[in-house]
Amino acid sequence: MKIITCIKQVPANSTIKIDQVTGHLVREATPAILNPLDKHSIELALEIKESREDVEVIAITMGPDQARLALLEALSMGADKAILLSDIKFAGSDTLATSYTLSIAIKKLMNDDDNYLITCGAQASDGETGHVGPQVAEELGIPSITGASRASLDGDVLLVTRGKQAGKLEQIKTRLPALVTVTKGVNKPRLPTLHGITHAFDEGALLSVWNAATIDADEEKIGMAGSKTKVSKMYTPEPKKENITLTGSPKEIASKLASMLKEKNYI
Amino acid sequence: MILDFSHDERYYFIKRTVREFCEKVLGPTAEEVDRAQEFSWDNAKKMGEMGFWGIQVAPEYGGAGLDTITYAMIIEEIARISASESLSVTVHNSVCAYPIQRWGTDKQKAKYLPKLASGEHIGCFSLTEPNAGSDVASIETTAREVEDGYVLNGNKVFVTNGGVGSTFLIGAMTAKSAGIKGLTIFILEKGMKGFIVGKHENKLGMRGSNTSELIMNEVMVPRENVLGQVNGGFKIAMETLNAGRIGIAAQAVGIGQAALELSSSYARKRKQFKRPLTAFQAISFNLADMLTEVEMARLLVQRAAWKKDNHKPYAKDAAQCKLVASEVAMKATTKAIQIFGGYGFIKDFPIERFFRDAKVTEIYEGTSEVMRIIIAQDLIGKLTR
Repeated sequence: MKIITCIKQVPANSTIKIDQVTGHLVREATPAILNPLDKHSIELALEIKESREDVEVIAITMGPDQARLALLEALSMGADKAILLSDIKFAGSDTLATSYTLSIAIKKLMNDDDNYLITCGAQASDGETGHVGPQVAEELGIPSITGASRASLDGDVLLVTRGKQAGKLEQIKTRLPALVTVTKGVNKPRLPTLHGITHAFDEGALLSVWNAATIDADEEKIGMAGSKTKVSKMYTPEPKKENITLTGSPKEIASKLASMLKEKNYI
Repeated sequence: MILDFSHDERYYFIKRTVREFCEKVLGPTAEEVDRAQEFSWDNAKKMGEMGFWGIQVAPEYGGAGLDTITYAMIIEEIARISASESLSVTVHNSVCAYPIQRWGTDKQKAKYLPKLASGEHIGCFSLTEPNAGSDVASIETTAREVEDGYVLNGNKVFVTNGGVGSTFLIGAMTAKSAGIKGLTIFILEKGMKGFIVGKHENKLGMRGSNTSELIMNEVMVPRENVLGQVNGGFKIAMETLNAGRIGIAAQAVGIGQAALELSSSYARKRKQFKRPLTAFQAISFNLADMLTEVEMARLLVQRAAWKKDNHKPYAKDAAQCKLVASEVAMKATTKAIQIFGGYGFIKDFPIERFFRDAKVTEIYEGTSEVMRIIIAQDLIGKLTR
């Protein structure tokens, strides 16, 4: 079976630059890292691979050429193969166009074989939408379980524990093919080893680059053309200045604070 | 004109990964490893999983097969967090695994390198004796030829990894009267009859690395365990030490880098006379000097490493980078403690550990005085040619 792990390269925190005209991230100007939750998604794929005989792990991402580095990181950790979906025609994709693009690449990869699992990070640290995982599952017509805090595979049954509101957990089972998105609690991602890194960087054949033509993409559904949402504005919110300083003895301050919290129905 | 100071993506990715490992795994235990003065087998195992014990060992023997520039960077990164653990690693790699890979027979390589590369066996190299250090010709350990090999007798001191090692390269005299031309290097194994570990040294610094005495009493070593040629040990020893010096220099750069980072971040936070220390030129000029000198030392390390990788003579370059880097480490840690003031003198901050660790880089793998002899001989040799 194949485990496909969808990963994303994101800007390193706190260095983000935004194009004031288009409202898009200026990716070229920002140091890029592998989305932190995707490390957990890769780790899950690798742990399943190590517990069975028949698993091939394939990391896939859509992005500019520099996104290769995110795939090399996945290969360094132990993924078997990597696919970079890169084409100027994919530029400006929203989550819908991205999901479509990933899903047809996965269809091409699987070639009518249904024996697969897709793992994703629950969301990316830049957009924070959490759309792409479940949307890829919709495009492929397979079940998806989001926000896993535990996940395992028994035969072809995926067993997932996920958090609900108020600290409650629920367990969900589904048969493959399926997609799961993971949170930080699901595992502890391994670091790449020196052997893993040299293998990933020196074996060029492990990484393939596919463009719109390779995956036979419908040009109406990719890039700007395929995007149903447009970012109208992106900005850093102004902090609302409403500081109140309470004075008096500790006892007085405490009682003022308590009555204010009551007033606002916080307690 | 080809002079390029950039590295490839792989180099930076390795640097980032090694740094993350060192900060997460070695960082939390560095103080305790120093205090307890014990080699951490737990950390050694984790470093083994990362591939640190076989950085330059060929992939066919289970190593990562990396070049010397990358090797030096990895040693620097380990030293930046835990200098004593960088010592265990660099000695194992550059003066045990490297000479076996370079001068070993196929049989020796197949037998020793895979276990060294994985860290299952820790490696050592030893010339030094109570009466012989820089003066190799004075080595008193003897190897007496018998029917099946050699019988070794003698004492070695200050052996890095001595008490934790399984594979030992030992210099012994096969023809004492021939001086340095009578030296042979033997591969010894832990557990050979009559081969025992003596005293563990109680040290000023590098306390997390084991340093021991080795005692050989009628140790029978098979002929197939001679490394290189009989009586050809001096050349192997000198070339091995050249390689070793790059590792020690890289370690010293890591110590200097740690001193720079610790003291500059302290100086930025610490306020006196209502200003951060960095606002005083007496402090900021010292930080500027530290940064410049650490980078200078790193460049010399990279040049020596580049020459080694490109099979050019590098004995002078290795001596230069080791001389400069060890003195820079000593200066940087001394200045750093001065910037910390009283807080630098107590054990609540790691800077005092780096200060203690720095000193020996001016001594082992050839003292600064020996480095100056090597550099001067190279210079004068060229003048008189």
